[in-house]
Amino acid sequence: MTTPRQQLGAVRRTIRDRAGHAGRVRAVLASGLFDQEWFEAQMAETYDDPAAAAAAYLTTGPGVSPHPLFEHDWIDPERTRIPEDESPLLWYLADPKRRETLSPHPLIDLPRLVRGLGDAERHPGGPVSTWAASARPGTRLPTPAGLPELTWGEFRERALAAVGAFIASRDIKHAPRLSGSLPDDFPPTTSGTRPGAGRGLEPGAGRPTPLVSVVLPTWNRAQALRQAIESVQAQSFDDWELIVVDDGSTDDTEQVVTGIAAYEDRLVHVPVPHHGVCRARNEGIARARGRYVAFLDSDNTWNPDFLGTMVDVLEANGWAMAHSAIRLRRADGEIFYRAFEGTHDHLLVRNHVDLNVLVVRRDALQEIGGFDESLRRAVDYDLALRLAARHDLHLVPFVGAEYSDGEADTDPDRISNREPSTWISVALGKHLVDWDAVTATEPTPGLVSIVLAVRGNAGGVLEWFRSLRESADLPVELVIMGVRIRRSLDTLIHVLCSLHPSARYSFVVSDVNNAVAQNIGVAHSRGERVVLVQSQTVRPDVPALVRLATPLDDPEVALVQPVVVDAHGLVVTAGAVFGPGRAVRPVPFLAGHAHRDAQAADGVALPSALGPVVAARAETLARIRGVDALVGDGLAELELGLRTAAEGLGRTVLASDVRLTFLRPALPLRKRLLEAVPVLESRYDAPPAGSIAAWRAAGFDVVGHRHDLVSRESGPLGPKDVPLPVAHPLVVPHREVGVVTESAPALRWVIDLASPAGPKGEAWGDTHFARSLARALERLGQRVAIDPRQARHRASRDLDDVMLVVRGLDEVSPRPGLAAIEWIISHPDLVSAHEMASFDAVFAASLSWSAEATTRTGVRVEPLLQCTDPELFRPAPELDGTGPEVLFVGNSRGIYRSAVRNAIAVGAPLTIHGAGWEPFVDAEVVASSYVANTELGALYSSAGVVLNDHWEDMRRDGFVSNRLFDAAASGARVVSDEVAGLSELFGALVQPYRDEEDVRRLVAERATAFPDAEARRTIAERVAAHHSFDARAATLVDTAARLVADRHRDPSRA
Amino acid sequence: MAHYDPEGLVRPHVRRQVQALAADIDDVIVVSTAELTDASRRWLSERVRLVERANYGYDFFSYKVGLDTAADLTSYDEVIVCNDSYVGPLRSYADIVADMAPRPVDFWGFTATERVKPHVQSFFVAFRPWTVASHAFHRFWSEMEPISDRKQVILRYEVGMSQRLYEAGFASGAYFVETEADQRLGRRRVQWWAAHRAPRPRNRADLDLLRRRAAEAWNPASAMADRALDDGRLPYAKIDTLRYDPYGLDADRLLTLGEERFPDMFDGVRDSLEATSRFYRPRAAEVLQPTPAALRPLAPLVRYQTPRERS
Repeated sequence: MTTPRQQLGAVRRTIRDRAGHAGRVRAVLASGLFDQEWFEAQMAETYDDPAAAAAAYLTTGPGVSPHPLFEHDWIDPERTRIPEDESPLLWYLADPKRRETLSPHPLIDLPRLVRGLGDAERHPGGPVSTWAASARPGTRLPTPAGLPELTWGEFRERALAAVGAFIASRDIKHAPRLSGSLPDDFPPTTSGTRPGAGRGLEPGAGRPTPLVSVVLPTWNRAQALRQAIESVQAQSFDDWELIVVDDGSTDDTEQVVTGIAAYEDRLVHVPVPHHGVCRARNEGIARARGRYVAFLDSDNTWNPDFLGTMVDVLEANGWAMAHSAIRLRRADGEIFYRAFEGTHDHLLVRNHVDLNVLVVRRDALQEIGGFDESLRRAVDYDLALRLAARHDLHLVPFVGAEYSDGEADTDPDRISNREPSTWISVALGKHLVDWDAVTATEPTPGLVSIVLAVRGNAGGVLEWFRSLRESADLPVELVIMGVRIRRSLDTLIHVLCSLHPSARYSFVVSDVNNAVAQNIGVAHSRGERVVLVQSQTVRPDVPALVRLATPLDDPEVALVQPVVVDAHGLVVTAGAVFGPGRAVRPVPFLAGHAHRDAQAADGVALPSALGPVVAARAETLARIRGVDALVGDGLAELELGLRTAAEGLGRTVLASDVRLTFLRPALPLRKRLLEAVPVLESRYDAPPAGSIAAWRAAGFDVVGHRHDLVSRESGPLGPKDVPLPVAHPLVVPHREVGVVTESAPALRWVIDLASPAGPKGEAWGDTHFARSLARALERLGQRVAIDPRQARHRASRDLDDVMLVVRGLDEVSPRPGLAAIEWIISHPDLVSAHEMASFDAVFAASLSWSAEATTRTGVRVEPLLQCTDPELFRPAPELDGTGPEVLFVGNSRGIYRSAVRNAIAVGAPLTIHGAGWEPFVDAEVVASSYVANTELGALYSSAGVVLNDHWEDMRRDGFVSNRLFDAAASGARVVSDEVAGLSELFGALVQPYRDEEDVRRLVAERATAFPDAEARRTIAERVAAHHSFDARAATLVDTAARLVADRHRDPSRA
Repeated sequence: MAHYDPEGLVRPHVRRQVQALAADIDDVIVVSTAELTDASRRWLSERVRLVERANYGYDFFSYKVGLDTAADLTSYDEVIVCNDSYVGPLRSYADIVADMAPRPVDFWGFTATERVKPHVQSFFVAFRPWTVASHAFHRFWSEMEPISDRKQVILRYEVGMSQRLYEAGFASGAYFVETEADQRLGRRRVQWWAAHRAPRPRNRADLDLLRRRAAEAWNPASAMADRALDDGRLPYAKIDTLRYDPYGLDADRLLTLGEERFPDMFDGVRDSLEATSRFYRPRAAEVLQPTPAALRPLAPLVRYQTPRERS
């Protein structure tokens, strides 16, 4: 009972909700972000008026977009931010902060849009609403940098075209193949009745051969078999023969069938050696005499009217085949029906024809050659696909059979438990790619096709287009294959492809793995060479991928493997190597090593490739029918290498100069191996040779193997587990034995930096310092890897001889076993005596501090000053005066640095290249935020005066900055804060300032305050000679050689 | 045929059974675990292949020894194992085997029951040649080890044998086919038996037990024993039924009626029962309670009776 008061409350709530609903409809319509035609295209429906459409929009689920420029998936890709019962559009409009900061579409650069609006009157719905409300077809879309320009009209037209195609395919994809109840148009019950029974078809009447042959293959299912056979014997229609093909059972199937056959004349018992269900069924078809063939598996049973009804309908309509519905009882008791009438297109997405309820004219089966015996699973699907390609699919509306998903669920012998699910992709692949047509097509010479399989909600796709756009002058095309992707992404890719003539896109409706998607991509591609990329696994880099195809110039090369590194620059994979023996179980070559080791192995022949990117000739791929779908994603490239090797099509080589950055935490190898190794080892007797040679090329000897035990179970292994042992090589650096030379030994170095990995590290001086030093060390016969700070603890450092810490902000402790050298080039205050004592040798880039620290701490600190790279920095008098009058190169580091402050204060005509200056100086003073190191020398030479200063502690302690060495080696006029030893090092080339006045004077009187061009050149050459990286490297090599030799003499020091 | 006798004799009803087998069966092997008297040994040896062995492992181990003794078992149309625990056959073995020939089964017995788990009762089982040739049959007998615990023998071997063969995919049949009337009576007799298996129920647990027992499957050797009087439709009378009257259905009456209906077959049975009674004490767990007063008037409805009394 409700009280009158409660009733009143309910009425009020209803009124409020209705008012709220009307309000929400109005809000949608007023937002400027509701496009009725666009909405209707997604719904495949039309609405009478905008209000009805807006109301309908409010009832839709996520993923339906109100406007071409508003995608739920873009503002909330994980679908976690917006409450389920809230409309994404209203959620977006409700909060001013969201509207101002969140772009609702990847092609809208919100800051650019806002800038474009200027002082225009603002829409209450925020900037995007303002823009959308005023946009005309010719209005330019505010696209983000690096993407092509297009108008709103062009965009909308293309988006509408894309959405139409997507919706059509979606309906085919999502048509319900399995349902909890029978369709409405099914007769209420078919039990005991035979629709159309007895249309002149007296069973068996005077016919010499039976009308229907039932093929029942069986393997070790004697117990279930009887029920299946009894369900045939119980058919109301009796003009049949039952061909039981015993596929080499080892249980009592033979005896059971013999017993039944003793009492059943129509049963034909055909024992065959075990070759799998396909050959067994084909054997049955070969023995069949009936006009029709029906299939029954030993774990299914027919309802009594099945054959009679099917035969009546087939005969009456003259159809080649038909199927009925089947009832499926799940292990938990739930009932489902497979009762769907679909087309060949439906079938290409997913199987809806159960073989147990399919009756086919025998000639139709013979026409297609029966079952494909190369498949080990999804064979019925494959048969249905091939039949449906020639004959219409008909559903006879009644339940013809029963299937219980009982204990068989966990039976290890059951095909669906024993064979990998990738067989479904294999079967589909046969029907989705026409390799003969691919072979017949002439590829475009010189063109490289990048085939990219995109899955899921692949946000990174924009980056591919950016990278493609930067490669406009390269002979490359991007072929994108979408699998299981959302409508929003599909539309975006469509639009982007329409803007890039060299990009093409196809959407695969079928649920296939990447391998099949890639094969479809290969079939779509026009290039002579193809680069296969597992999408979202590597950072888009189109120029690198074009380079990857270059080794294919050599006709002996079939596949090219890039070096794939992680975010810290360590190798993830550089191909596949194998252990000793016959096991085909790959491990990634050089995994965990610095990229330098891969460089040494450039061009080496690898046993095989190993994921996620590989280059091949289109001709090769067509010849071997593409990537193998069975081994599955993650190992398809490996299989490709094994196959091309086995078929003598060429070798797999490593292209070390192609370095791709992996975007995943790790190769998903362990899990994949469990499924794929049985397949690989059934195909290949042994892995290709070359593992030892590849390691040797990289500079290592394999001295043994350690087995990683891969297991399905997590946690410690028990005595009953049967893990898969995968051999990991144990390597040591190769040493030439018995070679005596006068020169320093060739040592393996690692330079440890405080600068971070990746693009961020490029802005650090330490990074460039280390590269120059590494080049100099390499010139002295050393092998040098540079580790950013994140790679500091890589295990492969144990293979190195010398660890050189270029001391920055991080305190680094030496790795035991390596000769440890510390070079303090900045922030001496951070370095403790204890730290210095932990190194075998300590250098500092200051004469005064070295002496002082040695006295203070008792640790011997030798001076080793900063230096310059004469290759990059040399006098160029011809440039003098062509550049900025007063130049400063450097980041602000968050402080108003004295050199800049002084110059500004005296009104000097200053030009800055560097970041972080916005708070301190006018924007026009800053020419760029970054100058590449290679261009810096010329910039110094061209400047009137180069300004420089130091961190205060560095200046105090005599740490002369490397900029001074670089600028001096360029013969520039340099004005610097005062550091001890300036004039000894640089003579008059570097003039110190103490205050603003000094700066003013030196800038104004630079013509006289500094030596002339010739004198500057002399000093520059002297600086280059004495303070080059080569000079420093020589000192360091001497020291390292001594330390390593000491260790050999006295191992206790190691 | 498995034979045992505590006094080493071959009792009259056993002699008749051996003679019936010898008359209709191509090769009869009697495996005896009795300390046979010279006369018994001579009598048996003159008629069948006699194998004597030590008394352990019950009848199933004798079956195994007998099967091992026989040559190629698959060359026979039927391979039969039976024991000496019944009076019969009340129809000739030739007729029984001929009646079963058109039945599409892989192995069969006189009777089958669902008690414990569905199985063919093991005092008489015939196997078709394809069953004899099966892995399951071979494995069952070759893996057998002697057990001298009656309950274990029933569970593992009597019930177990049928279960093993079912699991292998074989189907069984029974010579005796219960009619609906048989089943109604069988249910009443089980209910009657249930009321005698424990004192009057005193609490809910007792009552539940009574209900459960009343719904149990029956053993046709007891519940259908008087179907033997129906011209041998049930082709045997179990000695245990006559000796213990396990369901409390008046086995004395059954014996008397048997003697009247089949005087030759029952000749000497009463004497044998008496002579061996000291060796076969009532089994404690199977001793019945007195009939509750309220049930006494119902006794005539359930007790063993002739076909005429029934109709």
